[in-house]
Amino acid sequence: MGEDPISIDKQFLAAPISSAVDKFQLVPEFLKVRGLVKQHLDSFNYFINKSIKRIVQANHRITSRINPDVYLRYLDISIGDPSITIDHTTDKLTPQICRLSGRTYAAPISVTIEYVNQSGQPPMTRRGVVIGRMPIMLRSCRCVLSGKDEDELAKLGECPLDPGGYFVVKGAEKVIQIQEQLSMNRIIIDTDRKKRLTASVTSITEMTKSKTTIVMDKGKIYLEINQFEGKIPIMIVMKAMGIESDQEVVQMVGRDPRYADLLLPSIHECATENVFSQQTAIEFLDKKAKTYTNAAIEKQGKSVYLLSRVYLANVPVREKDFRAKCIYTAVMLRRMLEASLNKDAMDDRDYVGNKRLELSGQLISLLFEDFFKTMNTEVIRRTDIELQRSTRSTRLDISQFITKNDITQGLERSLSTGNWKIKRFGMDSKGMTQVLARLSYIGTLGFMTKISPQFEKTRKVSGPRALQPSQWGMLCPCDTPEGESCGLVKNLALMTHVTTDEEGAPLISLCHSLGVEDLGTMSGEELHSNNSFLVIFNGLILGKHRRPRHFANVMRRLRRAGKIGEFVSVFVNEKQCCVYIAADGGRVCRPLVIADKGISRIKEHHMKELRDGFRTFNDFLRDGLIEYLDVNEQNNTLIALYEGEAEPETTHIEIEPFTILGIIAGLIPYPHHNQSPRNTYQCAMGKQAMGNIAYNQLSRMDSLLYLLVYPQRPLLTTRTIELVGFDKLGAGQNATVAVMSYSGYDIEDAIVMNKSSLDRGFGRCIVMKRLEAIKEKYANNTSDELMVPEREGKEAERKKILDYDGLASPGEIIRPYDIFINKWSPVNTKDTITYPLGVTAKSHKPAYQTYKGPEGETAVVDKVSLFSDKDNNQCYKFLIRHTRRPEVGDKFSSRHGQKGVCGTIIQQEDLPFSERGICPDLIMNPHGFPSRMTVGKMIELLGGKAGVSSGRFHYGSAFGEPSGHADKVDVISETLVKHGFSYSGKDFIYSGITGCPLQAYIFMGPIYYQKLKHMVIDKMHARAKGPLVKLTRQPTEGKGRDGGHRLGEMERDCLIAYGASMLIYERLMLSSDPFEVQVCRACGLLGYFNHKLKIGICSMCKNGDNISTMKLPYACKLLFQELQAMNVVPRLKLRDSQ
Amino acid sequence: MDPQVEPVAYICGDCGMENSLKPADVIQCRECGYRILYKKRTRRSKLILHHIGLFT
Repeated sequence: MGEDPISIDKQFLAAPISSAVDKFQLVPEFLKVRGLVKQHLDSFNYFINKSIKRIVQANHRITSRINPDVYLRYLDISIGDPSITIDHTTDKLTPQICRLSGRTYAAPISVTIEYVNQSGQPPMTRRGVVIGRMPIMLRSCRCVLSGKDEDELAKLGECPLDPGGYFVVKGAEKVIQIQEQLSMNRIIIDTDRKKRLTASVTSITEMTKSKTTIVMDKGKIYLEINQFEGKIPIMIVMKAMGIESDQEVVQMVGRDPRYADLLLPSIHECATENVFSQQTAIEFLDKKAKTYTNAAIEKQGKSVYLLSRVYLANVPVREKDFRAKCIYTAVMLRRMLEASLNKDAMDDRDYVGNKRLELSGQLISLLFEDFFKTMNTEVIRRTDIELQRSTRSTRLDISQFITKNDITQGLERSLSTGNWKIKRFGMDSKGMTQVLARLSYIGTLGFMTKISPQFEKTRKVSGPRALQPSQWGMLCPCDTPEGESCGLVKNLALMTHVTTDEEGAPLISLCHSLGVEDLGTMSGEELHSNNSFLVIFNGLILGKHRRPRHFANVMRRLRRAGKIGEFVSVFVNEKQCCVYIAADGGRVCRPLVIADKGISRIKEHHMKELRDGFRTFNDFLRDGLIEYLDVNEQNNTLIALYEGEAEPETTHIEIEPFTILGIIAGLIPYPHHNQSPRNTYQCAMGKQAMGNIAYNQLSRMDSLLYLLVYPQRPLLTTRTIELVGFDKLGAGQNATVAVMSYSGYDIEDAIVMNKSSLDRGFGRCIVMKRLEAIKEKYANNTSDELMVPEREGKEAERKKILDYDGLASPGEIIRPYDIFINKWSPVNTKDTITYPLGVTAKSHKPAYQTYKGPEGETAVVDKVSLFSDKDNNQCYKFLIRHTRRPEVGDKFSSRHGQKGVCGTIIQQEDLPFSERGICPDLIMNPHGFPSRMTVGKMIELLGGKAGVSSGRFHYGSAFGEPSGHADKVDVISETLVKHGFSYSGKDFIYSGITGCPLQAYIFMGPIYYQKLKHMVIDKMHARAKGPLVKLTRQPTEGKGRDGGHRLGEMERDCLIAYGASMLIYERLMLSSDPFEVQVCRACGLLGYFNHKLKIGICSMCKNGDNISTMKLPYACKLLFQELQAMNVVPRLKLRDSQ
Repeated sequence: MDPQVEPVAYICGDCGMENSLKPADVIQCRECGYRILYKKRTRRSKLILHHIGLFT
C-alpha cells in the first residue's frame, strides 16, 4: 500500500540498460494521470460540466400556449454534492453508505429560474430549485471521492484501488457499458443485402436522427429515405435542391469522363420522368412524400421540409440555401462512383476508425434530455390547464409545477433496469447497465473496459467478429468471450483513451484562417480541381484547401503546441483527396512518442526528469513529445515499435508494446509464447478467479462474495500486474507444480493435490452470502414484529442462535434450516384493526426466515447490520460466512487457459519429493502441454523457480524481452544453475511410495494457480423423491428447487435403441408422474372414479359399463385435456396386452 | 417464554459507540447520527470453548 510508481524503479534499474531511451515509465505515469477507467469518468464529467448546461440552454424557455406572457426560463443549472434528505435533515452521502443501506448515490440537480406568472408582472428569480437527483459516478468530479488520497478514502470506507466509474443505484453497483456503434454523420460506402452499392449517412443533430441512403441499382442512382415512398432518382433530388443543370451536377461530381458515363443512366431516368426544373422536381417529390399531419410542414411544402430537415440532417440549411447539401450529395456520389470503379474505395464497417464508442456520459445525457423535456411539457400542460380554469382559488405559480420526482425516478429506473427508452430518437435498448461483477478485483476492472456491440448476435457473418488490424493498440486482441458473442464483445487496451466532444466553432474558424476556402464561393468545377483537397470537419464539408499536407502539418503543430485540443485528429486521405478533421466524442485513441526523421523527441533527460518527479505525463503532452493519435490519423504515420528500429521516414515510436493488450490479458506472463486461443481462454477465466475484491471487502456486505484465505502475489509478474494493482489484490497462490503423471486421477486435466498443502491453507476460500430481512409496515398501521425467541419447545433448537432482539447473533454457528430472524407478520394487513396492538397468536403468524445452505455443512453468522430503507422500514442484513477447503471436483486454473479440476487429494507422505525435500503442492499431467502449446506456462515455471531461489520477482510482460520487461529463458536458466538446479528446471525426484528415484527427471517449480468460483459443493445435488410441479406433477427442475435429473430425449433414444423398455417405463412414468385413469373402452375418453359407488364412470357415455383402469403419465392426461379444450378429441383404443 | 430479556447492544458503523434500540426506534446512532448499526458479536461461543476446555 502506498507505493508510488517510483518504487518499481528498483527492479527497473536492475534490468539490462538499453541504448535507446526506455519509455516504460510513461505507462505508469499515463495511468496515474488518466486512471484505469478514465474514459468513463471523462465522459461523465463532460456531461456534468458541459452537456447538461447545453441541454438546458437548448430548452431554456417554457412559454404558456394560452398566455405567451407567462413563461419560465432556466438561467443556470448545477449539480450539488451527493446528499440525501431524511426527516428534513440533509446528510452527506458516501458511496459506502449507499451500498450498505440500499440507497442511490445521487446529488441534487438545482436550477436558477426566472418566471412570470401574470402578464405585466416583473419577472421573479429563484435560485436553487431542485428538479431532481442525478446519480453520481464514483470518482467523478462531483463524487466525494474525487481528489482524495488513500487515508481519506479509507476513512470513507472506500478501497483506494477501486477504479470507480460506476454508479450506486438502490445499493447495487451499476456500470453503463461502453456501446460500440457505427460513426454518425459520416459517409459510409458499402454494399447492401442485394449486393447493391450504397452510400449511407446516419445523421444525428440535437433535434433529430435520420438515415439517408443513396443506392446504385442497375446502374441508376436513387435516394432512399423512410419518409419518401420507394426510391427517388438522385437527379430529381438534385434538381429539387436547385441544381437544375445536369452539367453542373457532373461538374460537382468530378470531371472524370468515367464518372459522367456512370451518371448518364441516372440523368436519362430523370429526363424520362419529365423533370427538368426545380418546380417539377419538387412536385414529383411531393407525390412521393408520406403524408404529414403537421400544418406548418404542409405550408412549407412537404418535400422542401423533408429535404431540409431529414435528408442529410447533419448538413445545415440556412434560408433555403441547399448549396451545402448539393455539394455533400455530390461528394457522396463521387465516392460511390469511385467505389463502383474501384472496389478498394469501399468503406469497411468493421474498421475501428469508422466506429464510435458511446460512454456513460453520452447515454445519461440522452436520458436526462428526454426527462427534462418531458418535465417542461408537463409544466406547460399544467400551466395551461390552470390558466384556462375560469375560477382560480389560488394565484398561479408556474414554478410550482416543476416536479422533481420524474427525473429522479426516471434516471434511477433506467440505471437499475438498464432499459433506455427515448421516444424522440426511437431508442429502446435493453441491458445497457449491468451489475458490476465483484468476483475478483481484476474481474471488476475488466468489466469496466468491456465494450458491448449494438448489432444482434445472431448474424452469421464473420466480418465483425474477426480481429481487425486497425484494432492494434486500441482494443485488446486477446480479451473476448468464447461462444455466441465471440469477437463482438471487446475490451479496451491498456493505454486507450476515448474522446469526448470538443467545441467545433473555434476549430472551424481556425481552419478558415489557415486557408480553407469556403464552399459558398466555389463553383462545381472548382470543387475537385487538381491538387486541392476537401476539408471535412466532423463529417461536414468545410471547403477545400490547395496545400492540404501543409495545412495538416500546421494543424498538427498547433495541436502539439496545445493551441487546439489534444484529441483533435487530422487525417489526410490521399485516395479520397480529403483532409478529415475530427473533434467528436467516442473516438478511440492512444498516446505515441513523436519522432522527427526517425529520432525520438524523448531523450534520456526527459525520462530522468520524469523519474525525479519534475515532469508528469501532461508535461510530455504539453511539450509536444507525445501526442494522441486516433485510428484514422495513424494511417498518416509510420510507427516504429522500438527506437532502434526507427527509419528516417518514421514519425512516431510506440511507448511500450505490451500496451496493445488489455488489463486482463496483461496478467498473463509470457503471453507471446502461448498459442493465442489459450490467452483468450485465460481472459475469460481470470475473471472467475477468487482472491481479494478490495481493501474494504469485509465491510461491503455483497450478496455473494468469494474470497481466498491466503492470496499471494504472483512470483512471475508482469508490468501490467504492477500497474493495475493486481500485486496488491491478488487472486491466486504460487503452487509448486510437478509436471508428471500420478495415480491415474490426473487424466483429462485433473490435478492431484497435496493434502498437507490444503491443511496449510492452499486454495482455502471463504464464501460470504448475504441474507436480507425487512420489518415491514402495512397500510392499516400494523407491522411485522420481531419476537424474543422461545428457549424451550419445538422450535427452540432452530432458534438457538437468536438474541433477545429476534436476530441471529454474529459469531454464531448456523446450520441449514436454522431461523435467523424471529419475525411475525400480522394476519390481516388490509382492514383497520381495532383490537389492541401487540402480538398474539391470533393477530400474527410466524414469518421466520431460515438459512438454506449445503446440508451437513455449518457456516458462521459473520455480521448483522441494521438500517432503515427509504420508506423508513427497518432492514436487516446478515452476512453468512462459509470457509471451504478444496475438495475433489473444485476447479483450478493456471494463468495460461489451463483449467482443471481437483482429481484426488493425496497424503504428502505418498507424494514425490526432490533431493532438497521439496514436495509439490499439486501435480499436473504432462499431457496438458503438447496440444495446448502453452510455452508461457513452462517459462513461468522456470522463472518462478529462479525467482524463489534468487529472491527476486521475475518479469514476463508481453513482448518484453527486447526492452527488459521479461526475463529471457537463458538468463533464467543461468540463475537456476547458479542456485544448484538443472538449467532445464527438471529435478531429480524420489517416489513418495517406494522411496526409489523416479526414472525421469521431473519438471517442477512454482506456477501461479487460481481457484475458480466453480465449486463442487455449490453444484452437487441428488434426489430420490421430492417436490413436483403442480401443473404436470412431474419433478421440479434445478438444484434450487430440489429438482430431479432429467432423462432427456437423447438418453431416451439410447434406451430405445438398446431395447430397455422397462427402464424407460420406469424412468418416464413410474419415477416421474404416474397417474391412474379410468378409460371408457366404448368412447375412448377419460372418465372418473366415483368414490361413493366405488366404480369408474364415463362422463360421456354416462355409465360405468366399459371402464378400464390404467396407468398413464399425468402429463399425458393433461395433454388430452388440453387438446379437448381446443376441440381436438384424443381417443384411447385399449387392447389386451399379449 | 423467557421473561428475562437482556438488552442487545448495537455498534455504530461510524463512531463505534454502543447503542441500545427499542423495537419502534429509528435506527440511528445516538452519538453521531450515523444510520447503519451493527450487532455486537455473540458471547455465547466462549461458553462452548469453556466446555471443550480450551480456555480453562
